Amino acid sequence: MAKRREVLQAALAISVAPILNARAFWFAAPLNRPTRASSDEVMVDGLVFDNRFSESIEVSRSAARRGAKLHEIDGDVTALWYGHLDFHWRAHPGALAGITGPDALFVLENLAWDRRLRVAYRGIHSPPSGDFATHRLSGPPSLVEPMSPLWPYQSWTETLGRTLALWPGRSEAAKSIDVKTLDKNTSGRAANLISWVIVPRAWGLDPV
Amino acid sequence: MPKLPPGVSAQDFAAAVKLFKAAVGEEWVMTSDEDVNPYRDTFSTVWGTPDERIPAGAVSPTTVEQVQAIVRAANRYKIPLFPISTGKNFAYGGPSPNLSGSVIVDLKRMNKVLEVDEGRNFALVEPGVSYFDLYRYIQDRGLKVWIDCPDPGWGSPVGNSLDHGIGYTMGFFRDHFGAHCGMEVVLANGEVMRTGMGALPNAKSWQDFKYGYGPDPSGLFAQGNYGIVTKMGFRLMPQPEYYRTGLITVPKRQDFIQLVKTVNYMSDSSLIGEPLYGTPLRELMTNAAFRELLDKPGGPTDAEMDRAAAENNLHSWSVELQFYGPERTCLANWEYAKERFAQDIPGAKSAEGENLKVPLTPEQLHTAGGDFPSLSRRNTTQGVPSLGIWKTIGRTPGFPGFVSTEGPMEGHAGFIPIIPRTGEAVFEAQRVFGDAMREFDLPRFGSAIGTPVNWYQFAFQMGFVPSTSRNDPAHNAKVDKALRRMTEVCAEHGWGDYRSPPVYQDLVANVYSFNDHVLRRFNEMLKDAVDPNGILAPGRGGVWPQRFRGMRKI
Repeated sequence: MAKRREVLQAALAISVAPILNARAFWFAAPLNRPTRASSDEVMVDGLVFDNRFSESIEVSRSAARRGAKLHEIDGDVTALWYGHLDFHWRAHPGALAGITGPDALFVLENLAWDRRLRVAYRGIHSPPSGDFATHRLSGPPSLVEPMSPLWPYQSWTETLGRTLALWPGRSEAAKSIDVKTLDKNTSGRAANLISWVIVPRAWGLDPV
Repeated sequence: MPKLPPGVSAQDFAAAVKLFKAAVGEEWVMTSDEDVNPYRDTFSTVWGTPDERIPAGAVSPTTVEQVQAIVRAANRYKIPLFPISTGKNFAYGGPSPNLSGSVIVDLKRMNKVLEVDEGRNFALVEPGVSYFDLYRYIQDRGLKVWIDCPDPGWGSPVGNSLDHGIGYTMGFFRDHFGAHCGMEVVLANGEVMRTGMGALPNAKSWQDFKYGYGPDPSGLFAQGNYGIVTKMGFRLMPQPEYYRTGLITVPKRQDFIQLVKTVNYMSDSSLIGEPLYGTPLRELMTNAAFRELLDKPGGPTDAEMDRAAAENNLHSWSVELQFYGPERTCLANWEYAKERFAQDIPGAKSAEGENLKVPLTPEQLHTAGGDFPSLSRRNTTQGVPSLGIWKTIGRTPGFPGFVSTEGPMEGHAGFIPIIPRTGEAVFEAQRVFGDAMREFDLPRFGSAIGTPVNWYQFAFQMGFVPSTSRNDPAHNAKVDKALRRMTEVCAEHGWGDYRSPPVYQDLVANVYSFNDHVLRRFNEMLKDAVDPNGILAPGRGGVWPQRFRGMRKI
């Protein structure tokens, strides 16, 4: 798996500006990730976003600013599977992040099992009710612990996008955290939205 | 979570696992909680209850020799095996076994397309080849043949056909088991057998002539448990030059009887592909008075339905016709259809659909055009596998139960019995299903506007596909009760289901009871003869080996 350092070095050869932006973002928000060791982190292979949900689009924009490659779906993962993942997961699978409806994750998780991959982070984002939304985040503590305390005070989609773009490379026992955010249901979403990261089983992270 | 096979000690199971590992390698014998989880039926109506079928583990071979080694080890330690191809037939049990404690033989790594012959129009594949894999193989080589795929298309031709799955193109190809031609099977004693011409050493026509000589046992391996299929041939449809659609509507309720007769004539003459029946009256479902009319015990009268149609300036029934072939013959068949329906049914009208050169463009594959809203899922009419149905299946008005906090759907169960291909049978089924379902607080199934599907060319099916939820045992229990009741009610009227999740297979097999269950007794006599240790898929299709016969649950 490519280390974050290697990704940065490779990217520098292509263009300096995006990396400077990414680094600026990284250092500008150190409190977001106080316990994460940057040398262990890997850039995700990509982030799948579901254009049916405005929150998913917001997360994708945040992840893209961090350098994540985006894969857009409208709930149907056929093109993603046939055109990309079927090959990629056979050849050299890494960490794939996403924020989609549960229907899309159902399909991807089933396909992932067949290729010896597992969901190692899962965030369940309930539809906002009244002025609040609830989120249950399960995964490696180095991912979910630093991310969640800031959510009540920041845009959770912004924080989540930044966080999912880089995946902690270390093996840790998973934990779950519940977070409540100030949120209005402006999009009329009725179902849960799920953020997730799928990684090779060989990486040794807990399934969630 | 994994369960030991019944009657097998932990020591014997461990010894068998050791032999499995020797056969396929350590990594591909899976016995942890996480390993077993994907082999549960996530759509099960008995999820999380003692009735749920939980495997002991899984083993995933890559070669026929490895399958043989697994079978021999299973015989030695009497381990029940449950073979799957890709295990994606959700609503029919997915990858889960009939018997808790079975070891799943997951054939997904046997995934080679062995041959596709464009001139003779066949394919020979291993069980782990998915419809996507076969489609890609054909596309990559520019071959002018079509697959006929189910929807979604992530299953395998072998697994789908062995469960009597269906597709959506021309009649012969829609019956996936009917369109198979030749198979290779590892028997319960570990021997490898080939059916049809494949029994002839150096056969030159294994995928051309399925019968060979003498009794053909291939049917035993579909919904059966007499062997593990390791290769299977399939007839493929030559890629047509054009695809055309058209719609016929008829004004009165009783016109449906002649509509079906004329469609049957065209279908059985190979003039059309899958006919898609519908009713323009469905748009009245927003009208409370119309819903009340449909809810009448015994159903509304023909006159009441005709009056509702006339008052709203609607026809009563529609059928969308699909034509495949050269442009001229597609047009000629459509012109013939219009003339024939106008002649057979007073007041019949037609609407033009599309006339498209094959292969369709990506845009044409996703959106059906024409002068009427198509009932087709376009990709399936073109033999193009898709996963998109997982997005839409939970969002149609017919499946309101799918909307839950977990998302638009969690699961569903399939009960789609076979009924005769006549208008009279459809009317009877509408009444019977509607009345029987009245006692259940579930989405409507069976009313005077219910229409059949014609997946199998020579039969109709009427569907009841209730939602299931892993988080709502009370709802699941209600669905379970309804499925059991509908199985009984259908049997009382001579209708039976064609496919079922493991938890209902005993129940369904039990209604095929002619002459004191002689079919089941015959199947089990065969089972005991060819699989004396009862290791292969005990319970599949309602067929239990002597050793486990007491496990049958009606």
